[in-house]
Amino acid sequence: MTEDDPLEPTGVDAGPDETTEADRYLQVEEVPETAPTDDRTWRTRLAESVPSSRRTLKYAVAITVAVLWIVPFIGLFMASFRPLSEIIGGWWHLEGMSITFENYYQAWNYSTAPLSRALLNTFIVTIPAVLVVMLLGVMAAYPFARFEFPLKTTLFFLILLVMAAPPELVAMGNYNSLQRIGLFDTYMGLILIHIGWGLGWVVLFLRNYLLGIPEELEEAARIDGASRYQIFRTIILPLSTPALVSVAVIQFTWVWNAFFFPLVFMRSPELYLAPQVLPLMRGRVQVEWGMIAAGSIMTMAVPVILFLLLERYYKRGMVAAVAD
Amino acid sequence: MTSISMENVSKYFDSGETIANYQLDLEAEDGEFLVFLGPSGCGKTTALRLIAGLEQPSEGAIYFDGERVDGRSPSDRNVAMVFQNYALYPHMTVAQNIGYPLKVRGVPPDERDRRVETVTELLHIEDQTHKKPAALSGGQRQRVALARAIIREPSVFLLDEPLSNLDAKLRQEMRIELKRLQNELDITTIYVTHNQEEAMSMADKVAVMNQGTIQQVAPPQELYDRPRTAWVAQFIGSPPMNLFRGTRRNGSVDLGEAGTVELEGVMNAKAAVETGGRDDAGTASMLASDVHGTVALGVRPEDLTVSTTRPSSGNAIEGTVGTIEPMGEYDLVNVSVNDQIVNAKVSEATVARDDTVYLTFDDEDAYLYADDGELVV
Amino acid sequence: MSLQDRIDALDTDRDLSVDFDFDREKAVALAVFLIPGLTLFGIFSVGPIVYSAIGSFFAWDTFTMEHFVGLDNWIRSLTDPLIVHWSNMQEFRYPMGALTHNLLWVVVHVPASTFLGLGLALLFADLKGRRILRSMVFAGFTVPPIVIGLVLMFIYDPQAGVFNELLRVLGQDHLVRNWTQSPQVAIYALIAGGIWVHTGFSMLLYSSALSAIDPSLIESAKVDGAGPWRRFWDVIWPLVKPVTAVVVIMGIIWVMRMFDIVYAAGGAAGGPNHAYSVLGIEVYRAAFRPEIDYGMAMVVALIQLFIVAPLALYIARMR
Repeated sequence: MTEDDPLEPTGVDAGPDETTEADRYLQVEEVPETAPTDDRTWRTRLAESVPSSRRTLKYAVAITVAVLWIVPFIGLFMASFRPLSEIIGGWWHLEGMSITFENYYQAWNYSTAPLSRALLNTFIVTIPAVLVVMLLGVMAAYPFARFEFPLKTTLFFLILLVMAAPPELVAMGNYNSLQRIGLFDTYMGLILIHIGWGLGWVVLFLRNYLLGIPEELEEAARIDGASRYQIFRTIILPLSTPALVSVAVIQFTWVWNAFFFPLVFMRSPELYLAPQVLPLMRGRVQVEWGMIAAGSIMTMAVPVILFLLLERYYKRGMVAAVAD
Repeated sequence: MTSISMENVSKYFDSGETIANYQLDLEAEDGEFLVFLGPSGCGKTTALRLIAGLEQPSEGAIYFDGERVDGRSPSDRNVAMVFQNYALYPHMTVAQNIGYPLKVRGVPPDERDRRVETVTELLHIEDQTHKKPAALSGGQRQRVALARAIIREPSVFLLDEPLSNLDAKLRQEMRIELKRLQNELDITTIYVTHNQEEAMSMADKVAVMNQGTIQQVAPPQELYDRPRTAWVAQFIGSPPMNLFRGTRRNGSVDLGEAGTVELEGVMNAKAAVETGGRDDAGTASMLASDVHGTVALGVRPEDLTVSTTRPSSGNAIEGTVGTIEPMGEYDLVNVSVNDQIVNAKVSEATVARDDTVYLTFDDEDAYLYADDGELVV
Repeated sequence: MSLQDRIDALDTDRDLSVDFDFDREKAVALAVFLIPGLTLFGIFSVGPIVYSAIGSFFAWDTFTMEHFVGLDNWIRSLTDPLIVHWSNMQEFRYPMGALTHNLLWVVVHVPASTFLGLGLALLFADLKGRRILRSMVFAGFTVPPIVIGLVLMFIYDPQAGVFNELLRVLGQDHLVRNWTQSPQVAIYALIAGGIWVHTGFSMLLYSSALSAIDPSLIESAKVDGAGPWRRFWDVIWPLVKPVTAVVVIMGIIWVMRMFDIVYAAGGAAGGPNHAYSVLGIEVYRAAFRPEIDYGMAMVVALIQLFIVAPLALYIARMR
């Protein structure tokens, strides 16, 4: 191996006494790009790449725990593709397994409230509820982060109070007011409820984020002659994009997953949202596990995929919302 | 107390994709103050962490007093370390921070308090012991970190860029303080820095590192007087050494339009300086007329003289004056030689912009580096 | 008055007039930014809470407020065995009342999920692929809670349930049962499920606290001679301790709001004979299932708020 050889002086005119000097030091060019591995067999390399036994044990424990953690979901997934008889026999029995899409077909066309319609309803409610909350939330958060105004502390306190309140607490008042304004059992009614409920945490979350944006940027824009609204549109909105993405993901998940609000405010089966339909599928005599599993998979797929795609924003937002 | 030696130590990261250190060979004698000096990313901190035991070498061996220590954990090596950001435990008071290494070793509280008192007095922080680190200034934190490191009388003292977070004045102060401590305690000390001034002022021996290898290990004066490669030459000294690129021809260096430099004088001067260094055969081969190749002629800015007239004898390099920077203590003249800017430190500049000037130097102040950067003369 | 004072006075004058214009412009801007959001927030969140607070002192004819009755609703609700069932509590027999069940959740679920979350955060902290491992544990938290409830029913099913299969494999056949429908044990089965889902969230908070610790502190402790145990107790734990308060309080809030999982497993009754009903379920049944009792629904929902509000304010003050 050349790397291990004593280095012969490479200069043409290196004198004999240069040898000792050059011997002691390596030249920068002699450092290889990657570790010299050719002289080692794959066996030793493999042995070195395997972590120590303590660490191996740690990995084994960690992977086991993580896999055990999702076993229930694996079961749900398996059950969604198998006929009821095989589910009752145990989805973990793999011999003689038959795969069927019948469960999905049944859930999709469920007679009381087809999931096809329920999923559509969920989208119809969730998307406007998320978009409006984002816009109104960042607008309201801006004065909270930057201006002093009367009642600011009181409003702040009210927001905290609402964040602590259980959704059940606003159900009675909202039920009566939706009845009165004729929005009970409509998309618009549920959307408005979700917007009003979500605004609290969104304003607080975005305010904390906006506080971190240096004020100099706005001052610079003001000196350049921008109005408050221009500053908001051209400086604040673009800079808060990461936080707005976090808000979007978390609020989407919350509205999509919400069960209590639709249960109270959506009474016509053709307006049922997906989470509302799932418990109805239990049936009276024999629980229709296959159909429930297929329906659950279809309902949970949306937030779970969204989480996996925007995992960083979701986690960062979750941590910032409660810990900062 | 402890001598350290590294033999062929290499450290690879990312399963060999990255080489942090490559075949380091190094000796630090008992009580010596050794400095790892190099630009950021040269592997000096990794080398320190290998000695600390925070990393284990991929290849090679590390010895403390002839005893092999690689593979041992930091706690089994009796080393103490000061981190770049001091790594003070934010939830403990100054006294708790300093006493922590003793607490871990089960030293009884009374003895602990006594020793904390001693070191805090030694470092002049006895008034701060009840504060939390967050309430301290940068210099005080530095002292707490030092106190924590020396309290248990380690056999090796490791410092990772300890002064880089301080302002210039404090840095100067702590440099003196550190040197005093090291002299007093006489602990083998390894110090990592990218600041050559720190290295030169404190070290008994400097190891200059670049791209994971050691370029030269020498006492500061030798490093300055005899930089082994063009890279070291340019790294040590401020402003850096000027390197004139040229071609060797018939015992001289051809610098194109700027003129030629005769090597004979340079050779003889070096031979005279380095007693027993170079034999005649070597000198002869240097001057042989058939030797060709690109070389760099190095002269430090402080060794250049600037004059407007061509000297009658000796070597002179022709150039045009660019800007002149008055630095108070001296003037720095930027001269353009073959489109290359060189610096000359003169006590008072008597030349003006766009003057044609001749740069002269004593033969013994010139260095000749081969194409590969190695010192020829 | 010196000249300087005069100039100062002039300056203040000018400032005042500028401030006045400025204020008008600012007031308009404030209104534009705040009013749309605060209106909706006021109508659909603050308003209904105030409505409930007032309504809890009035008599109700289904959905219509009648006359002031003082603490009637409060006394009636707090003595209702559905909320606190004293006689059953003395015999430690379920149902013990929704409030008791909720507090049981707090006592069992919160410490367990906090402890497990910290454990998993530490376990995964320095492993390669920790992002995937964490996501696997956290994923359950993003699934609709109603699905979680159905999954729990599925796990605990006597035939199709993997939990009962595990018991059979372990030779504990006598324990096999329909866990979610057995009154005396169902609540623990559900709490176990709650821990399963919520641990991911605790782990996430702890993970971010752990990664905020300067690694050189841990290395420094290593050089100082501290072993793994000491490093945890002397360095890591004191630095993640503040997060524990947040984890615990978020856990309590989550548990006090429990609704979907219980509804999925036990319907609007909260299990057979209300065996594991919680406050949320009682609000729903009082308000929207016959016999409608709006007064009681409001009182119970306010009790939920009273338990949680001081904790939320505590977090807010910590910031």
